Amino acid sequence: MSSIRLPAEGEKRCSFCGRMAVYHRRYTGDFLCDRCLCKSVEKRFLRAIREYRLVEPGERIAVAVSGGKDSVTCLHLIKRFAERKRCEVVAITVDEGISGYREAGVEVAKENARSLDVELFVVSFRDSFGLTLDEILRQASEKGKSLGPCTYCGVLRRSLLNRTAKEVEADKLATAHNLDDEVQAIMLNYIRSDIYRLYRLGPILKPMKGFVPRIKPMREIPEKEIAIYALLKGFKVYWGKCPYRKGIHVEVEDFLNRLEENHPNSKFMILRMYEKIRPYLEQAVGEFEMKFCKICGEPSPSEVCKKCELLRELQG
Amino acid sequence: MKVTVRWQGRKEDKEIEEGATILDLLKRYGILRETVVVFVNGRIVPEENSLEEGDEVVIHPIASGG
Repeated sequence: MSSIRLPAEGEKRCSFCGRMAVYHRRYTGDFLCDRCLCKSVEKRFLRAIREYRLVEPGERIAVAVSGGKDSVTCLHLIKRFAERKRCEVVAITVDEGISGYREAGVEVAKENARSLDVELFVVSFRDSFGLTLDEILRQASEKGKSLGPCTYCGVLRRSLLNRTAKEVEADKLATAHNLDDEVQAIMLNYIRSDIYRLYRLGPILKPMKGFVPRIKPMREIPEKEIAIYALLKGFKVYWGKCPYRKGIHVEVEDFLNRLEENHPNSKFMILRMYEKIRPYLEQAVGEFEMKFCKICGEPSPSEVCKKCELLRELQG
Repeated sequence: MKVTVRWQGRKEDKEIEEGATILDLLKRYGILRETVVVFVNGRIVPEENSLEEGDEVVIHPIASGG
C-alpha cells in the first residue's frame, strides 16, 4: 500500500496522482493506483449511506457475513463508519450446511469478527430448519423437484437472516450485495417476470411489519473493485467457490461480464435504468398487503411463506 | 518471450509475443477481465500493462458466492 516505485515503461499510471496503477476503471476511463482505488471504494460506500439514508446515528446494525470478500469488506467498512456515528455493529453468519465449502467461510467470518471486536451470531439451516442445504438438495432431487440450489439457499437464508436480525434486536440488516449482484438480480427478475421482487431490489426497503429493513451500502461498487480493495487491505477472506454455483444465475453473470467487456458501463446503465423505473414499480406493487405465514409467523406476501412452502414440499 | 502463469492451481510457462499485455494473455486463456484480479511479480496491475520476460503472473478469480 505504501510503495512509491514509479511506473516503468509499459506500466500504467494513476490518472489522479501518477503512481503505479492497479486498476483500469473502464466505465470512467481512469486508471487508479492502490490509494485512489481504496479512496474511491470508501467514498462510494459512504455516499450510498448518506444518499439513501441507510443508517441513522445510534442504530444497531447487523451485518450478514459469509466470509467472502464482499461481506468481509462490508463488515470492515461498516465497523469503521459506525465508530463515528455511535452505531453498534453485530454480525450474523448463516451456516447453510454445504459440506467442504461453508466450514472454512464460517471460520473466516469468526476471525474477522474477532479482529474487529464485533459480536458474531452463527446460525445454521440444520438447527433452524432441521436439514442442511446438502440434505435439502438431496431430498429435492429424489422427489424430482426442478428448483435450482440457489432458490432453496436464497429463500431459506433470507428468512433466517431476517429472523436472526430480529432476535438480536437489530435496527438494520446490512448485506454486501455489490453492483454485479444487484444487476444480476434485476436481470433475473426480468427473466422471471417477478415485479414484486424486482421492486424489492432497492438500496433500502421501506420499514414493513416483521422485516428488519435491509440495506445494501455496496450496491454501486463493482465486484472487481471490492476484490482489489480486500486484497490491498489484506483482509482475511475465504475465496472458495460454492459447489452449487450453476444454472441461470451463472449464465446471467457470464452474459453481463461479456457485455461489460465489450461495452464498459453497461452494468451501471442497467442499474440507473432500474432506478428510473422503480417509482413506477412502487405504484404497481403499492397496494400490496403483507400477511404473516400461518406456519412460522414470519412476514410473507401469501398465506404460507416461500420458505415454509419449499420445506413442506420436501416433507410431502 | 516467456512468462510464468499461475491459474486454477496450475503453474506453467507460456510463450508470448514481445510487448504482449496481460489482456492478450487473458484472451489466450479465454478469461474475461471482469472475473479476475491479476498479479504480476506480486503486485496487482491493470490488464493493459505490458509483460516482460520472466514475469510471474498470477490470475486470481474473484467470484466466490453462491
